Amino acid sequence: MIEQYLQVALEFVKEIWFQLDSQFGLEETEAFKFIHPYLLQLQDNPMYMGGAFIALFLVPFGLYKVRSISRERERKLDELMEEMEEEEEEYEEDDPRRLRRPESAVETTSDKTADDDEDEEEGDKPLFEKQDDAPPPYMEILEKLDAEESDDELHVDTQKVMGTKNELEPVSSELAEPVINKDLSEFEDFEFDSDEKNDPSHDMAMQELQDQGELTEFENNTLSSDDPFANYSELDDEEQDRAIQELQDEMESTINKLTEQLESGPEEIPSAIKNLGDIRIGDDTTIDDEFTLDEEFTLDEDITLEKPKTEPIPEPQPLESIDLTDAVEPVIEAIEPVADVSPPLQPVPERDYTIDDKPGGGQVDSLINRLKYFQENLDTRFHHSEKRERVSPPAAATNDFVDEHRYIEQRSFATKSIPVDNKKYMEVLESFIFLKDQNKHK
Amino acid sequence: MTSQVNIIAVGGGKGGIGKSLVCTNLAIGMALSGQKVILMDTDFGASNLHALLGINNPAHGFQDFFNEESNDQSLLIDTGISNLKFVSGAGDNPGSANIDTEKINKVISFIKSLEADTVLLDLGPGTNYNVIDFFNISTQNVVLTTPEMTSVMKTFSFIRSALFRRISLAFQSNPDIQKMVDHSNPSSADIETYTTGLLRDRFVEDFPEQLEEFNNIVKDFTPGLVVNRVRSKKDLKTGDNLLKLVKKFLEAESTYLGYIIESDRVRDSVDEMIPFLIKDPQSKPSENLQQIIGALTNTDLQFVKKDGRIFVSKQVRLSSGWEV
Repeated sequence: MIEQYLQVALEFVKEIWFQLDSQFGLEETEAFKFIHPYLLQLQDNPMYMGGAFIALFLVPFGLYKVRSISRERERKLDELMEEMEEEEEEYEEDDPRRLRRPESAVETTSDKTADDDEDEEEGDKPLFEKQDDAPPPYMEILEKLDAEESDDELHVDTQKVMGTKNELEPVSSELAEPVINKDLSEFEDFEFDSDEKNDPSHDMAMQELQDQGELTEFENNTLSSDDPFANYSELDDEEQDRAIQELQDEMESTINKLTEQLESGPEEIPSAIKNLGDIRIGDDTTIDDEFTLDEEFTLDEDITLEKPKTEPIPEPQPLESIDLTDAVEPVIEAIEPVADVSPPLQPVPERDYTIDDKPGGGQVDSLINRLKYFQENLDTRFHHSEKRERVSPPAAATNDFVDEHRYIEQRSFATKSIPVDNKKYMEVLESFIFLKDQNKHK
Repeated sequence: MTSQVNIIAVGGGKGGIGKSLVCTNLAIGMALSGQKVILMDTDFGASNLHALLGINNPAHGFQDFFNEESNDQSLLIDTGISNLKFVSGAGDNPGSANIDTEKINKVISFIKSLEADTVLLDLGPGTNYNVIDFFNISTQNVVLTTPEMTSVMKTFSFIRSALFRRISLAFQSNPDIQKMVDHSNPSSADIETYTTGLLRDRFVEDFPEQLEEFNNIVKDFTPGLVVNRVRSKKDLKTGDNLLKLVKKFLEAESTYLGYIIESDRVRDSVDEMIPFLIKDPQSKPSENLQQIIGALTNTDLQFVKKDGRIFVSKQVRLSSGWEV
């Protein structure tokens, strides 16, 4: 009797497998080929078979059990929290028995559902916070820093980022939308939160760069009252766009001025190196004042590549008639003075590239940096998804490769499988059985 | 071509598709079901049936067929399985596969003279006439294929060769018909007649008197198909497709006898030299084989192994009895 049941069960399983295989071609998949020998082992050894069946049922059951236990605990926690809230409501405000927690945390905890894991985690947080009215010491430091940097639009509200501020006011109506808020918070996290503010190595590098004068300290630059970005975060979208437009205009005008300056005085290269004679390249050695770069490196103006001189080819002369030494010696003489002038290799003197030394350079760079920041911010806000699609170098690289190599013969080395369709299979079979001329049967 | 003994030939165009293995187990199954069975290895030159039965150094072999001193009974080797005798083809001397028609006819006469219920012939691969002639003396033809396309192609070629050989032998006296059905000499062969339909058209046009005989030959040709090493339902469809091909181009009514699933047990049985029907009669390949035996013998067989002994349950299909 048991054998019959087993037989029926096996037939049923086999039928299911045949159906699945014929529908999806499971046996042709790499995964099946991989597990096939193991399945055969399972089939041959009853111990393995039993183990596999047990594992098949125990693993999902175990997962379900773990999940249900955690849910049960969460549910109990919720009940406990609700009981505590009810008890708290009975106490007065000043009653020391009242559990001191932020209101928002209580609200979050009461609103959460069992299925929402993220909300549950947020709701659990206040339980582990210090239940003390006085803010922690690091919060004082953060507040101080916020107060110092509040008038700088590059400043990020640390309380806001850390989620400790009670009320988060959106800068605009669009930012108030949940998806955009998520994008912005991601942006803030990536740009400022952990990488720059909390990284001591980054601070050290910043300090070094400032000491070397390679970086302008934006924090010390107080923005003027007419600066369009002074209160950027408080502007609405149109005003923000207008501010960016003004900034672009200002930048263009500055660039134009710089271009005019460069065009009007090409000889005067804006550089900290005013006089070559001032450069000390050794203890007692200085560059000769009369030495000019033109003598050394400039080409003769008469030589033009566009119009090469087509001199008539001289008639061949016997080797004896050519005085080779006369032809070589003048060249050697011309090179000798250059060898005398060339100084020995010395360490390159330090050059001061402080932005302030360049006419208008610091202002332009700061404006460009700010413009980049705001444009990136706006791009992130409005075109977050598009930006992600654009930044897909592998696809672009592949397309470029295909475009460049489209002259290569396209050949497919894909495995040609026997067609599943019976009609096509028969056609293929006939094509292999009969010769090309044997087509009378059709 | 008629004989008192039931001759079942197991052939197929391709080598290595399991002809010997299936033939051996068919013989064992029939012997266990009570029939007196003689299993014969006709794969001269490459015989290995004795190895599948676990018989090393067989007492007689292929050369004894042509020894005047040996009698029929001395060629039959005991297999250790009741009701089953074995005629070995061992003695694979180089070139021994290329025996002439006279020797083939002698072997055929020997087969027909055997006293048994069933003689099972294990054929060699290919479509040469030595093989095809053994196939055509059988009362029940079994062609074996595997699901691979190459195997299906060769099996179709094998069936076509067998049919055309039958027609050729039936009209040996007519050279014009021989040109159409015997393409062994390409220079004189009419290769335009490569299907039964095209052949019939030529018979209608040129040999209307022989048309009835031709039709009878085609009608009597009913090979049974077995698909070996089946792994999926798609593999089973290859058997159907082969039957369709045979019906379409050869107009022969072939039957689907059954299939045998691929299993490592079968392979292991070869290594152990114990036929899988004896080693594990309740395995799936064994059950498949029992169904094939049932289709060949019009019985329902069930083998059960208990305490090292095999018990056979046999039920005769009544419907087949009424038909007889």
